[in-house]
Amino acid sequence: MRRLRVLAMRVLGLFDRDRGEREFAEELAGHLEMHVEDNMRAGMTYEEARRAALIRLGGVEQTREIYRDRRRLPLADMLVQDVRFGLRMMRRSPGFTSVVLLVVALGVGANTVMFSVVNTLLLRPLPYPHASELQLVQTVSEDGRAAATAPPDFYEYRARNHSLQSLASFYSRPFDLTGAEEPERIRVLIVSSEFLGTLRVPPAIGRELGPADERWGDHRVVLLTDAFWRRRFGADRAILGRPITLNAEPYTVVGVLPRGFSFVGLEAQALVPMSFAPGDNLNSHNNYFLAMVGRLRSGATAATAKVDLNRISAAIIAEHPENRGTQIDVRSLQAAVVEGVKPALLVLLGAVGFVLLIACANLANLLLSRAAARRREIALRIAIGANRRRILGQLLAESVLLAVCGGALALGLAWMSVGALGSFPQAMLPRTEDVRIDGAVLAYTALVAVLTGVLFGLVPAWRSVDVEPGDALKEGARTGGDPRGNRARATLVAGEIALALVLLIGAGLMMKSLQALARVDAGFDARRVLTAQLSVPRKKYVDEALERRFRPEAYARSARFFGDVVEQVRSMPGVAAVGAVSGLPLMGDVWGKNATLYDRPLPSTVTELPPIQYRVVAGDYFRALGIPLLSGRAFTPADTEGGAKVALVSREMARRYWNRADPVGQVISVNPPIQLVPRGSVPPDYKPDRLTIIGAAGDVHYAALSTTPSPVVYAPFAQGSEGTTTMFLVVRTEADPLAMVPALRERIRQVDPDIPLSNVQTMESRVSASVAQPRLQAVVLGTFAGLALLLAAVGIYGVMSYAARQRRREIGIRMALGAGSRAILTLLLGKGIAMVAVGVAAGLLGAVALTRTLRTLLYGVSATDPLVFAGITVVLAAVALLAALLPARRATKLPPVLALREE
Amino acid sequence: MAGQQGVPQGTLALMVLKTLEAMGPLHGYGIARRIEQTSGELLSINYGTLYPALLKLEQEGAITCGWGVSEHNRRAKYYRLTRAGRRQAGQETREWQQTASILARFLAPSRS
Repeated sequence: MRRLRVLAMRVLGLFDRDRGEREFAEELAGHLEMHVEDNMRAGMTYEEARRAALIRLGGVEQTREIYRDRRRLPLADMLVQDVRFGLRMMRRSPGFTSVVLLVVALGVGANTVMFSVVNTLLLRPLPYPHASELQLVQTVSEDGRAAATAPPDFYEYRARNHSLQSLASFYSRPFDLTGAEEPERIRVLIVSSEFLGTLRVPPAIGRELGPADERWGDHRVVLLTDAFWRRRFGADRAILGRPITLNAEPYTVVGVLPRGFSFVGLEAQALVPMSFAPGDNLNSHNNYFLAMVGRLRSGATAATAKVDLNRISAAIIAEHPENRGTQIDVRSLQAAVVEGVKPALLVLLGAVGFVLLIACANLANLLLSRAAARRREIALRIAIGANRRRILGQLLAESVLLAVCGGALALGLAWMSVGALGSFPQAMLPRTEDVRIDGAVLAYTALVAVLTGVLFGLVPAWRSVDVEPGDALKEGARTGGDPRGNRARATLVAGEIALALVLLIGAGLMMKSLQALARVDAGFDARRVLTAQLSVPRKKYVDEALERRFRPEAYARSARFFGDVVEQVRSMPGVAAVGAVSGLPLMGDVWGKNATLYDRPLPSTVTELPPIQYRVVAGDYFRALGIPLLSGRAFTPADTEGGAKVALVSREMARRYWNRADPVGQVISVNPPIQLVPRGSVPPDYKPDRLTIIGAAGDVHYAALSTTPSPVVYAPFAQGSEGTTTMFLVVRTEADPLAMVPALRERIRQVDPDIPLSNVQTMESRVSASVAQPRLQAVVLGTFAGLALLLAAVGIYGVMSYAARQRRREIGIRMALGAGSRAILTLLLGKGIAMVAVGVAAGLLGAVALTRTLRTLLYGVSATDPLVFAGITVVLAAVALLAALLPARRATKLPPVLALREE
Repeated sequence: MAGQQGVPQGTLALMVLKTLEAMGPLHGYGIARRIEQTSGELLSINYGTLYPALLKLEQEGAITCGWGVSEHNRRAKYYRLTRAGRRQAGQETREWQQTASILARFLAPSRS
């Protein structure tokens, strides 16, 4: 209590300082007079009496100083004073001030930007109410790999779980929007009815989906995203209740989503309810394609939900053995979204912190040199009684003030760069549109700025007040040695070199990894190849009755369409080869199946059949993409519905299942035999096509450059073993592929004017986009490392020039006495070499310890790659020594007379 | 001034309180002189440290002050004990007495 009262009194004391000062002056004057009078009564003269009284008081000024400190909060007082002093110093040396401000603004600004990204992705919750309750619910295989869920299983989980408030499932499909205007291909999220409720995002206008919308026949309703509603329908509210034509069927618009709604980066223009016709093959254990998101009940955790759902999963497996080997995994949606970028982000945040540390070391050096110039001033102040701690505080306040001003500039820079981040594609960095400067970013920036100020100010301030006033004053104007200051400078520079080396090695590893990725033989020739997506509406192109009976002929119309398109394009001038495929390389392992190999005994369940990637092709796909044929023959126009059913396999398939032998002649199927299919889920006349392998093609990286190619089975669409409504056109051209696009559109319009060409890209740009993320990481880290190298070089240069200037007289004398310039150079460089050596040694140790964090980001290069370590060390040492050599050489060029005259 | 010594750490405040308790309102110089007299001129107060100590007591609420007229017809600041200050004086006196008696046992010639 008493303390609090004292604090309150002292805070109050801050405000009427003048009255307090005046009163105390009067009190002291009275005290002195009384004392003098007493002394005079004891027989002293007035002068003696006054002198004695003053001595007993211990000095009027000192007493007032102590009293003042006691009366108010000296800290707050000092702060105000120090800030004033700091501002005065900043104004007095504008050059120095602007350099420091610039360095701090850049250093802190880069940190702010990185942190705002990290904050958005890793720290800030997803933009849904109580987002921490949201969980990604996933079916995973035995080895922990994520798989999708079949609709019947989802319905079980949804109905029987006890741990979730709600569980929603979703998948995404392209839909064709037709009508009065230009046909358009849009991305549609097909969701179970509780999807928006689970996220707790109500539509901006209109209604949410309800269970009734899942009923087949009542399911043709659609919610539009705000952006799509504005673009396509001019934000017309009257659209509610009106039908639009999706995939050639009328869908009633029932709502519009709020502006900015994004389902964690899944780009979609509309939402429709998930609904299956009775007997639809999609709604069976033949198709696993759903993702699920759930909201935990209060009290439930991811772990308890996992137990709960796996109980249901076990029950399903007991009934449906084809699910064997799978289980349910539940984890935070937030963590799942950023999983891919988290390691890279943390590495970059660390790297940018390193750059700031190096910048701090440089600023500290700059301040140290200035401190040397101010030694006399400070020695003088100490000699006349200034408190060292007080001066230390003042110097620190000066640097913190500089750093805080720099931090304010940094915020400005960050604000501008964050705006630019929004233009990044989602694939490179998720949720960039959400990145903004919020309270957490402001707090972080303030903290970093203050820390920066303390960091670069502490050592110089400490060195400044650590002077013996007598010595410093005796030194005179001659810039004398401040050996401990020099040691501090050398240590700082060695530290900079160490930090820069760690960053450079990290960047070097990333570059080498990127190079390794670029060297990967993707399995095809991307030059002059144009690709584009074409999707046909199911209504018009798929016979759903036949499909329900698992008849390949169901897709005959779709197959004919793609065959016609290929024929149309083939006859275009400038086309060397043309084909189509159901999934392009580098798009991911999108169509997985289990193959039946008839040359060996059947396993007991479907999941034990060899997993393969399935691709339906049309036209000259292999020639168009330059995929080599290793044996046998490619598909020909003769491979039609009537002919013997054929397939091609990839080399990996042959290697894995036929021990590298030529697979031509083997018989396989891409659908399970009836014995392995759950009873009742297929019609009694179900009989999968047997395909005879007619050739082997080279391996193609369908998933990504960084993963080993999976085994692939190719089948000609014309034989329709299993059909599709989406194909990618692959056109090898003789000249610029993009110049073909308008003519290409025209040809396709001739086949069917309602089918839009979308996703038009050269194959080269697809390849380059597939490494966009590692490239971005390498470039950003490389930029930081380059900055670090530059800063470190500047640091060495600064320290060496300073040392050379300090020793000018000594050098002059040595040269006057006959020392050669080589000897002088050796003398000066010795220190520089020692600094570099210490820095490099420390940096190498640091790099060995820290590059481990890069391991998950690297491809084809070890985290301690000796070549990178050695090469980068040589480069850094060379730059460092050059930076040391320049000032040393200049010192030897100085005529001795000039150096001696120097005062 | 041989034989004189400075004020032991932490005792000045108590001396001030006891002096004011005994003498009633006093100005700073008077308090200092009174403490020296009470000590039999054995203590020598650094007057410069007295005023911050008075200020501290004032901030703690143990004493209050106001302007008055001194015995020589001069305007002077007078300090007066508050009720809280009287309590504080009593409590600190007991504490010091206890400390002194404990210390006395250590300082007494051993009786073994």
